Amino acid sequence: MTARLHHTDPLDRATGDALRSLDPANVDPQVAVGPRAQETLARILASDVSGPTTTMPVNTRWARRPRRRWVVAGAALVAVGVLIAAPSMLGGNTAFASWSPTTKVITPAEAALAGKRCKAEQLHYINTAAAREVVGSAQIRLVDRRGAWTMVYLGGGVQPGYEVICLNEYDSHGAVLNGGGSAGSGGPGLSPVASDTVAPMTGVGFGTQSGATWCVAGQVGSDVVSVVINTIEHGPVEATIQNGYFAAWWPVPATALDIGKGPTPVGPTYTLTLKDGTIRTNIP
Amino acid sequence: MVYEATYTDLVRFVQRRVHLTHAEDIVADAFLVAWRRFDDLPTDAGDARAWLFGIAQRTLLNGQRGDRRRRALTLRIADATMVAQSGETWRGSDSELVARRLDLAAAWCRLAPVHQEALSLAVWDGLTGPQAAVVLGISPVAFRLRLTRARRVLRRYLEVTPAQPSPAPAALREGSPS
Repeated sequence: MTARLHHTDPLDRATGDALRSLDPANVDPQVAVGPRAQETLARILASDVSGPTTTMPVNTRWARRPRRRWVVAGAALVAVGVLIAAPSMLGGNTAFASWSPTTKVITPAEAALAGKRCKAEQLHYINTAAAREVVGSAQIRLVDRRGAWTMVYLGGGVQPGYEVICLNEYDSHGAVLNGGGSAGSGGPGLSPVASDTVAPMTGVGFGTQSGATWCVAGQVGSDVVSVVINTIEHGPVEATIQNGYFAAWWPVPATALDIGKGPTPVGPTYTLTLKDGTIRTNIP
Repeated sequence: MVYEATYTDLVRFVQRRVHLTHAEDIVADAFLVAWRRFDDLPTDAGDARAWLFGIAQRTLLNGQRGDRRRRALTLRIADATMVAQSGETWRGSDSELVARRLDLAAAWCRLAPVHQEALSLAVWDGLTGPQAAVVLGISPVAFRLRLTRARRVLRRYLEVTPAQPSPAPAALREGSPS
């Protein structure tokens, strides 16, 4: 770390150097990836975030909107409201050329395999007993395929608030060709949703240097038969609905996920079609 | 990921204030608090690190009960004789450096905890003034004044502390608040 001692300090440079050399902290640089740190992380992710907070941090000046807690299973990813996958993972903007605003039908076996891959991805970085229990018990809420890419939405299980989104390109045997991006959340459990609406969670971004995608997922009411997401980038995008959940994803400019440098993706509006034919528009 | 990027630094931060065997327990508690207050996590990596240090600081302070509760934590300093012997060959002017470390370690132990904290955050943690202020829950101006005073006091102690010719372990001081 750079010391802040300079030539006007009452302490001369030699004294400053000597003081730096007397730092009593002695920590193995690998401690963060050691078993104890990873056990702690798994325990925290599995904890109830609504529990009491006995230690209050200092006041912050940052005004924030609510957001879910996302942790990405992968290297070089950041958790700042949207998550950006490592540039090498998604293979560039051309990788999404096959994307379509409507979904492709996949077989139950393909969906099950994609779900299994997604769970394995989550356990690749945090493979502890606690993590295996949380990830293993999560259910496949839905699988959404557009072009060559498959999005998997997992959640629930022993940790009700646990949620995961994976976005990968698989070959015909289920092996990952491109991708590896996944994001897991340990937020509070879901609340019941009204029958005529949707309850979207905060979006998740998977980014590359030259392009990115934006994913949304959440609960859908029992009377909703169609969910169309009105996106800025591609107009109407049809969401997949399965098991009481909806999800979709679409390519966005890389700058959309460039935290602090570009515009943050704005929450899209939804157009819902209900069982009785009613169409609800501009649902936030 | 924020967790892995800051974990080591947070352990180092805590290690200076408690016994080594307790450091990772405190870090775990601090991260749990941070997780529950994730919406407050600053987006800037340096600010996020300081924010986490602040949580750890309060976790440590909250661990002190009753009359022992304090507003500042005593910080350890390395054993100057061990630092000199483990990494260097004793030659010529090195004895001057060793003497300086011994003086410094002795002077450090005379510092008030608030001055130790200010110097530690600036020198060992490499925080900017505003970041260190966040850790301590004071204004940046107040921190700057505190750091200036700390440097002056340490300078004064160094001026009156004679160099120790023999490797006496006077620098060791366990500052655990536990």
